[in-house]
Amino acid sequence: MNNRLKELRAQRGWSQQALADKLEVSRQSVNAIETGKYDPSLPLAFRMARIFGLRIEEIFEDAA
Amino acid sequence: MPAICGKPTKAARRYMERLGAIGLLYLGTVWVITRYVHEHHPTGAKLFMLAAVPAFDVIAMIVVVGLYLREEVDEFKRYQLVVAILWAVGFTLALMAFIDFLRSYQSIAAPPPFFEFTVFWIVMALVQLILTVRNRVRDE
Repeated sequence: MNNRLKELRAQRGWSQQALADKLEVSRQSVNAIETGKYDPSLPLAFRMARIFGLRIEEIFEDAA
Repeated sequence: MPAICGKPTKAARRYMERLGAIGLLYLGTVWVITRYVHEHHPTGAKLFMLAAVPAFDVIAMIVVVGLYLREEVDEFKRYQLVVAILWAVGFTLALMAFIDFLRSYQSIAAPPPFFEFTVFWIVMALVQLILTVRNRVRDE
């Protein structure tokens, strides 16, 4: 699954740690999601969408 | 400088404290029971009951792992622990199958007592370390 997390984070001037704090996860989690090593669960994806004020499909896209 | 381990979560701190306490209890239990058996040579039901005591510590360790998986709010950390458990279970079972086969057909000596337990936790710790290093984050 591809995502625009890094791009969206950069647009807002947030560091990985700042986003991790907002999501209540570790910075390693944010980094793993950004680099495609880990796909988040649906609840975490919804939290991300809420924080960025976007829909889930505007952040994540199916790689297939 | 890269932050290799990062700040442990509250659940991770509780996990390490609980696991450390149960680990020490396990070592103490094995030591006391081993001494008792060497000195008093119990047999039958008494020996069976004594042999079961360290097993309760092992169950307690698994409960501690289960509590961590329930309490950890960071799903990526949970995922990493599950991966480490799978590697540890897989490696330990495969190693024991290999040793048992050799014991059956090559008459090699049995591994030392508590061998599987030690291998399991060492592999689990090693895999956790590897995953932590692989997923380390660098300063932005």
